[in-house]
Order: sequence, then C-alpha cells, then structure tokens
Amino acid sequence: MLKVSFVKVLFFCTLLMFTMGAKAQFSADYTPLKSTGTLPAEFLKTARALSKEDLSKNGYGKDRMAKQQFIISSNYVLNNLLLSGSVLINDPLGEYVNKVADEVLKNDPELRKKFHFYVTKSPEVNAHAFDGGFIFINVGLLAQLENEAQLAFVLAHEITHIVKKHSVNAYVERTRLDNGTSDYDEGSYETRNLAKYRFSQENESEADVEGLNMLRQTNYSVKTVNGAFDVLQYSYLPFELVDFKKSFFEDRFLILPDTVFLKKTSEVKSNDDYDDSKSTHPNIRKRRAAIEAQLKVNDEAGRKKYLLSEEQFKKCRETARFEICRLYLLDRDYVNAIYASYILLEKYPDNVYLKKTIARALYNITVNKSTEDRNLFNKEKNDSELSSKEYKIPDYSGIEGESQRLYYMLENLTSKELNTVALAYTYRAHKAHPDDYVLKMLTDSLFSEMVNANHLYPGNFSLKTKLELKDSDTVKAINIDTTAEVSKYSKIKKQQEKVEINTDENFIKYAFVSFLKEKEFEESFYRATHGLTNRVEKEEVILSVSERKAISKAKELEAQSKIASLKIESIIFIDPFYMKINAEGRDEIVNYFESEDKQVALLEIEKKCAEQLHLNYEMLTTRGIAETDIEKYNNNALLNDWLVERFSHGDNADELESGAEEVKELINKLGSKYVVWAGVFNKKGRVYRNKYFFMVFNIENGEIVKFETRFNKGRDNIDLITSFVYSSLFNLVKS
Amino acid sequence: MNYKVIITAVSIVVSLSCFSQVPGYMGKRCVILYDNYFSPTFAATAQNKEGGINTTHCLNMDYVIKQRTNFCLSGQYFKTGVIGDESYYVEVPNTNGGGVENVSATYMSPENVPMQLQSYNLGIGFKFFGRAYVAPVGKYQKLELLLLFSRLTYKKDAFYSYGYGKSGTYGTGDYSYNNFAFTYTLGRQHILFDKIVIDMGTRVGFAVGGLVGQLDASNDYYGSSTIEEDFKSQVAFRILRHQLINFHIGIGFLAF
Repeated sequence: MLKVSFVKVLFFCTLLMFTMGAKAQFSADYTPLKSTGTLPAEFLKTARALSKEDLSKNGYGKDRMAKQQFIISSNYVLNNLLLSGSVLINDPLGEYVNKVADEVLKNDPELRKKFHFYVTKSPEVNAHAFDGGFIFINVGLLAQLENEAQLAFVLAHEITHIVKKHSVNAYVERTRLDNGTSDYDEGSYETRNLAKYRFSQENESEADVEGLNMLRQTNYSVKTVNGAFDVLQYSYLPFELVDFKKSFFEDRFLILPDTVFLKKTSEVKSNDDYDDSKSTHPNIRKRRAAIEAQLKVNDEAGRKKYLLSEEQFKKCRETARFEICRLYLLDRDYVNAIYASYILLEKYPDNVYLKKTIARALYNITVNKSTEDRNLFNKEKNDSELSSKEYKIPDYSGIEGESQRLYYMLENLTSKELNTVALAYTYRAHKAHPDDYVLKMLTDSLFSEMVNANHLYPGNFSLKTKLELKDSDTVKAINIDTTAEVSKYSKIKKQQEKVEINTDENFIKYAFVSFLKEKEFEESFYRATHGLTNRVEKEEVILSVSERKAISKAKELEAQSKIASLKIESIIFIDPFYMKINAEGRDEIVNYFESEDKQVALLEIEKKCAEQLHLNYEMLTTRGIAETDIEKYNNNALLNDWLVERFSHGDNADELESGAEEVKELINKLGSKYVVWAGVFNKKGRVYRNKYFFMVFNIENGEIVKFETRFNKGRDNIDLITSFVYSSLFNLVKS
Repeated sequence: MNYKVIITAVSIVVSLSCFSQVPGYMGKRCVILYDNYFSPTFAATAQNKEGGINTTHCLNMDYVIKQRTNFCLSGQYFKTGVIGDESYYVEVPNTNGGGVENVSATYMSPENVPMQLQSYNLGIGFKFFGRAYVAPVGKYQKLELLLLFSRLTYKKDAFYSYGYGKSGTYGTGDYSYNNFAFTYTLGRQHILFDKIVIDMGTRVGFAVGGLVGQLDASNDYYGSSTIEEDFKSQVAFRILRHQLINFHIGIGFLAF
C-alpha cells in the first residue's frame, strides 16, 4: 500500500516537473523553430535526380506518359518545397512526429524505412503526402490536435495515400477523364469534370478506412479518430475558444468604450454536411459515416491516447501554438496572430515573444488603417505586381466564436484610436522588457505613425484624468458662474470637454495620463513631433488630385535619384526563379528539368556578372547545398519567409516584416542588406516569349530598391540573360 | 588653336564619361565584326558570270553609346561584273564614204569576263536595339549612310560591232565614281562564350545616284549619250541593284 502511494507520489512529482518544465520553457520567451544538424540526403538531390529514382520504379506500364509527367512534376514541387526553407529538419516537432510514426509502423519496419516525416511551417490545418514517401505535417495541424492518437491517425491516413499510390492514380485518372478514355466515367465533359472530384473523394475515404485499420494494429485508441474529424471540421477556428476581454488592452486611464465591443458573439455552427461535389475530400459527415461501423467495434481495451507520453504531446502542441503566432504574422493574418497570442498570454503572461507578436500585428493593422491617403495615390499606378495590397480586417460578421469580439473591436476603432491603443500596449510591453530591440523599435514607429499619419500630438492628450477634470474649477465654473463674461467659443469648448468627461467620447484623450508624466514617453513623443510644427497645417489641407499627382511624381523622382546614387558595394543573391513552359499544344506544359538547369545557369550568370563588376556578393542559395550547410539552409529559410511576407505587403513599405532581429543578425553576418532576386519566365508558343525580372530589397527597412522587368520575344539564350543581369547589376553599382 | 584643342579634349572626355554609364555586354562596349553580305544579282552579273550571288566583305566597329544604341563605323568592299551584253553606240570609221558612223558595239573580253566594278565603301550609322534588349545583344534595326567609292575597269579594245568586227578602243578602261546610299537593316546579334559575336540580318538599301543615272539613260531616246555617260549610269544602276537587298552573316569579338 505504502509502495503504491510512493509510486503515485513519484508519478505526480514527475508530471508536475514536466508541466513546470514546459511552463518554464515558454514563460519568458520563445525562440522560433529552426532546422539543426545535417541536411538529409533528399535535400541534396535535384528534382531531376529525385525523378530519375521514381521513374525507374514507377514510370512504366499502362498510362506511362501520364505517370511520367506526374512523377516529374511532383518531384519538382517536392524539391522546391524541401529547399524553400518551409520544411523543418531535426526540430523538436519533427522528432516527435517521427516517434509517433515509429509507433504507427512498429509492425512493419521495412515500410517505415521508406517514409520521411517532416513538419512544415504553415498555419493551415493540413498534412500532405508525396508518392516518394514524404509526409509533411503542418504546424497548424499540430497546434489543433487533441492527443497523440489523433496524430497517429493522421499519419496512418497519409501513409495509406502513399502505399495505395493515390496521387499518381488520381493524376492518371484525371488525364483519362480529360481525354475521354476513362472507364470511370464516360459522360459529358461536365460529368467527367465532377468525376475527378469523386475519384479523389473515394481515395480519401479509402485512406480513412485503411488508416483506421493501420491504427487498429497499434495500441493507439481508435475512438479518438472521431476527435480527429472534429479537428478538421473546426479547423477554421483558433486552437482554443477563449473569451476575449476588452480589459486586455485597457489600463487605469485607457478605457475602451463599450460601443467597440460586441455584447454577443456568433455561435459556432456545426455544418458537417456541406456541398462537397467540387471538393477533393468528402464532407466530414460522409467521412465519419464511412468509418462509423469500424468505430463501433469495441476493442478499446489496452488502447491508449498516448503511447509516448502526454507531456511530450502537450509540449509539442504548445510549441506549435507558439510557432503559429509567428506564422499568422507571415500570412498577414494579424487578428488571428493577436488572438492566438492572447490565448497563450493567459498561460504565460510574461512571455515577451507573444507581446511582440501582438505589438507587431497591432502596428501593421495601424499603418494599414492610417494610410488611406497614400493608398489613394497608389490606385493610380496599379499596373505593377507590387501595387498596393491594402490589408483589410476580415469582416467580423463572417467570424464565429469568441474571437469575433476582437475582429469587431479592431474594425470599429478609428485609425487614431487604434494607433493610441497600439501605442499604449506596445509602450507597456516595452516598459516591461526595456532591453528588447523590437519593442523599442515598434514603440518609436507607433509614435511616428501617431504624429505623421494620424496627426496626434502631445497637446491632443490630457494630463489629467476624467475624475480630476470633473472636480476641477474650470468645468465647475461653467455650471456655477453663468453671469461671468465668457466667449462663445470658450463656452463651446468647455461644453465639449464636459461631454467627453461624462461619456466615452474621445476616450483616447485620457489614454496617456500616466505615460505623459514619464520622461521616456514624453521624450519619445516630442522627438517624433520635432520639426513638424509647420507641417501640420500643410498636411491638414485637403489636396486636389493634381496636387496629389504632383507629390506622387516628386516621390517617384526622389526614388529614381536614390537608385542612381546607390553605389551598392555588396549584395546577397538568393535562388533565382526560372520556369520554361511549352505552350505549343493544347495545354501548357512546364519543362521541369530544363527549368531546373536554367535556374542553375542563371545563378552562374549572376556570379559572373557580379565578379565582372567587382561587386562583393554572397550566394545564399540552396542549389548544390552541402550536407553540413544547415546554417545556409536556415538563412535561406529566413530570407524566404521575409520575402513572402514582404510580397504580401505589396508597395506598402511601412508594414513591418517579422523576424527583424534575425534579419539584423543576418545582415551583420553576410555584410549586406541588399538582397537580389531575379528570374525568367520563358514560354514557347508560336514564338518564344521571355519575361525577365530583377528585384533588389533592402531587408533592413523593407524597401524595394529596384524592380525591373523586361519582356521580349525570342529564345532565352545565355547571352541575352547575361546582358539583362549585367545591366541590372550595373545600374546598382554605377555612380 | 589651343582653344580648339581644349574644346576637343573636353568633348572627348565628356563623351567617354557618358559612354561609361552604359553597361554594354559584361562591361565591354566595342565590337569588331566581319560581316559577309550576299545578294542575288537581279538580272545583272556576278563577278564572273551571269546570275548568282554577289558578296560584300565588311569590317565593322560598333561602340555602345546608350543602353540600346550602338554607333557603327564600317568599311566595305565588293567586286562584281557589270553590263555584260549591253550594246554601246560607238563611232567607227565609215568605210564607204569616209568620216565616222555610229554603230552598236558589244563588250566581249577575251576571257569572257564582264567589266569589273569594285567598290570601297565607308559606312556610318547607328544600331537601335529592341526595347527589351541591352546592346550589343538581341534584335536591332540599323540605319546607315554608305559612301561608295567605285571603280570600273575593262579592256578598252574588247568592243565588237556586228558587221565591223573589233571596233577599236574606247574610253580609258578605268573610271572612278562616287556615290552614296542609305541602308536599313533588321538584324540580330548573339554573343557566344562571352566573347564571340555572331551577327545576322537583312539589309535594304537605296543608292540615290543609281536612280538618277537610270532616269537619264531612259531619257536618252536617240542614243546621244557618250560611252562614258553610259558607263556612269550603268555603274550607278548596278550599285542601286546591288544595294537593294542584302542578307548578311558575320562573326566578331568583343574588343573592350
């Protein structure tokens, strides 16, 4: 008896230690996931090499052409995915997923050897498989799962796809249906088109059934599979439903009015029987129904939700949840980034990473809200791919659950109000973590935004609280001494003040009562306003269209002269883009192998031209990467993330990209802040057509220093591309 | 004098510094090219026979002066046959009544080689590369002014007249003519191994003197023109036809 008690105590102590350990890990900060160790062999292979291996195994027999096309294209996509930096190598999440995969395939070690499991940095609740044995689990899925058994089922489902060759079969069937040679459906074009979805849905159902069978062969709980379908059904919701309190952004002086806060939020609907006729997956109700019979078999005895450990699962899920906050930012899903961080902050109130995520998201929403004037200019030159991609807060009415309050609030705050709320939040975070570079930078940026975009100055904020003003003589004087001679305008102002004091109106005026008494806040505010006293009046004048155009033109000229005097001495090249398409026939076919070869050739051209111009360069490319180049792989991943985010911002250079600290480190390490991304799109139709582009980014401030495009007819000969690249680089370095 | 030297020097320095602002190909802006132009003879003669292809040898020097513009200097040489079976009105002694009479004579050299026209040309012009290209690579249009310094040589005693046999010697056997032409070329340049330049294209040209000479000749209903005048108009017309259309292919290198 005593022994049992001791074991119990020991167990609980261990559990407590694990829980506390996990909590301690996330309590102060969080470091985003990075790849470590050495690069696996598959990362070192070209798409051509990967395809050759596959072709020798599967590229023959009936429908040989379609199979070969599929193998080549899927390996090209796979190769690009592996080298994009989105895939994590030897990371804690990947290690955990691999351990679960070991459990799932415990009975078939030979089969296990054929599979490679990786975690991909995507907030989407999804997993996907490539026929070569590659299974990718998104961080977004790991953040939502409820237990280890659910993960095991997802893995079993994906393994079935590969074992049954679903992808290649679906491709072959789609080709047959397109050509009208399919036995699956010989109907009209319309019905054949729908049959493609039906075929895919049958594959999915088979993967569910076979996956469940595979799970049954392990000791994982089978009943949890229903929960996995819940995860899929509600994947559009955040990973937790937590009541969002407006007090989160408030303090003693900043009180948000009730009008910006929804009293009742929309309930979460439970529609699992949606129209799936044009979906690759059957709807959730059908998927549940397909395995219902199997789930009824009661063989749960000895089965567990966790074969590894609950702690490991929870640690993995918590890491995924932290990671997803950053991924939401990259995806420009700012409201979800705030909400996810808010949920985690309830658990880890001192975590600086979460506060930074919220501050970043607030800043980016603020700059988008307060740049309507600038966007008016940009609408006039909407012809570029980088034209303004204005961010709009998603309509709150389409949101279900508790997070709807946050959407509503952010949507209904005016630009000035939002700027004030963002500054108050960020400044508080900065005060709590004074050494944090990003929080300091964000605070300064929000001050600048406040002055330059929203025209709010220290004078717009009260130094006294509402209560103090209520008791003050000035207000009372209006009430009592009515006979005194007071000007009409003075009376109006005092009446307005009285209204503000008694209601929520102009609540931002009282937001900084305590902050304005702090030296740092006051100094930062005055620094931002310094020298702008005269500009205020000018900016407040409503400009005519011609005046706006003139300003826009002047800005363009300023930008041009800036380029002319850049005299860049050192640059970073990243993997260029190259795509060759054959459009001679009915369909456009990508020449994958040739595209890959040409990409390497373009890299060589870049090197050659930079050397000719005596330009210092760093090749941050993954083509020909070595096994030990994990740092290069991570740096490339960082830049890819940065670029994806920068592109999503369009020409809005004010929006801040994530990973500022890492980028700063990278600049110091590589000795340059200029990143060059070039590419060629070559299409062979009746004539050859080329589209060449060359972009230079300043990764320090997000500025697009140069964006050049060239279109011409003709082959994409090396001399032609060399002349383009040289000319582009020449313009960067010339005096 | 000093003032002129200074102005010239300053102009050169300014021009060179302007040119240094263009990329060229990998920093190289000067192209030396040998082009071979060939054209169908259009009812005229080639060097040694009727019909066939005429060729022109051309040495070009192109210099990139703007992102898409080359300044071109060229020296050309061609040699071709002229006239062949044309009849000339020549004066022969009248064997019946004394004096001279005008008869029609034909040039028939002993080796059956037609009169030879050699031309040394100087070209000056500009190549304008297409909008998306960077000189000196890609498709271009070239406008050129050709100064033609031509020379006609023949055996002056090789004229025969029907019924009279060899009809004496005529002219000096060596005439020089100056002419000019405007040409327009559509071409394309490639660069191999970052060094070798390949050039190809089609040129149409118009030698103004050829048309004028031909108009004069066609107005000469009564055969009143002298043999020198005949030579002149026929040479000019020959050049006109020669310049009318030419195809070319060339090879060269990037000099500096």
